Amino acid sequence: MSAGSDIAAMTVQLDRDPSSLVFLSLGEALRRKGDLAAALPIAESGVAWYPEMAGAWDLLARVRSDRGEGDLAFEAWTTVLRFDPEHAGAHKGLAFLAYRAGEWDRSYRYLRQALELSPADPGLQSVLDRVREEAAHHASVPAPPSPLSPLELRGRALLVDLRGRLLEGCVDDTSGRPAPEEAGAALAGLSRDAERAVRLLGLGPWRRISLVGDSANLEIRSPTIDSLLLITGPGTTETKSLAGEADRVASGLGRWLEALR
Amino acid sequence: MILREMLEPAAQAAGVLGALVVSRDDGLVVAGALQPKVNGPAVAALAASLARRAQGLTEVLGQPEPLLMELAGNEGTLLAVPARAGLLLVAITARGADLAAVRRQLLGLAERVG
Repeated sequence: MSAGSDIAAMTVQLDRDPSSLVFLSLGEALRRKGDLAAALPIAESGVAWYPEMAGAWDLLARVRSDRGEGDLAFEAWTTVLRFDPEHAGAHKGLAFLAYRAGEWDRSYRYLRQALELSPADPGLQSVLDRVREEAAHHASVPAPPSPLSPLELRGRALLVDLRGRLLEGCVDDTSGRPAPEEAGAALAGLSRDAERAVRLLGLGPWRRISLVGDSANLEIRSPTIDSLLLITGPGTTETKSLAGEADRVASGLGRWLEALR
Repeated sequence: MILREMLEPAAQAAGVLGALVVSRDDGLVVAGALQPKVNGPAVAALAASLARRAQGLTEVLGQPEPLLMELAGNEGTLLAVPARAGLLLVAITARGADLAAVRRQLLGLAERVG
């Protein structure tokens, strides 16, 4: 059977049953054929049907990457890693995006991770060697300043890892005493419960936790798959403006952490 | 007015999949108005646990318990509002729901429940 008739048969199958997992094969076949306009809605529909399936997000990432939509591909592959941190394909994809952006060190780290996860992958070692050579030829740039440095964020923005260990910043309690360790531990517990809740209730990956109070509002984000951001603001703060600030800072922290790594 | 009837306006708002009154201590459903596909006991237990975690976070910062908690995912949102008498008002929504309206409903209901 030709590739064309395969695609036609799979298209009929998916039309009959839109929830069929055949979208994975169909989307990939269309992508390989270069029909990205047809592959994209197939991949998007697959993610809508199976929002917690790493393979569905991986397909979407590959289609986005082929379309030259690096930012969207990056988001999709990092989503894959939230569901399956050992997904070698996602590490390879992120390595490719970093390589395409000229970020040799980062590309090398993703590739090394991919090789650890998939040691039998043919050709991966030679790609890794080539990227390592590229990285060696390019001088490393100094680390950018922390997005939590600005004065207006002092005492009200905290970045921790998933275990609550301090990475950057600090939050003060209401008496003005720094409380990064206590807040980090509480934040990690809240994030674990949030992960469990979105998974069991089918809410998709969590992107925001907002706590609104009389005297303070809190916004929580996950700038990368392995970090948590807490931003506090007075209770009089418009929740929308604090949420917008949290989104901006989280986005900056995501890039900053990637650069540091 | 019985609790379930009080929940109806919130449960019938656009995009809302269900609204519940939950016992905070044990995470059990006290009353609920839910679409059939929603697992009420699971929503109740998870919301109560999250509310405790949220309270733990504000406590270490010396702040009172939040009036409202929202957990937003790509496909929907879970909202919880503490009420008197150890109760928690909870709503679960689909993506695209009018969250401002749901917040108003829950906060208004919290004044009347308990």
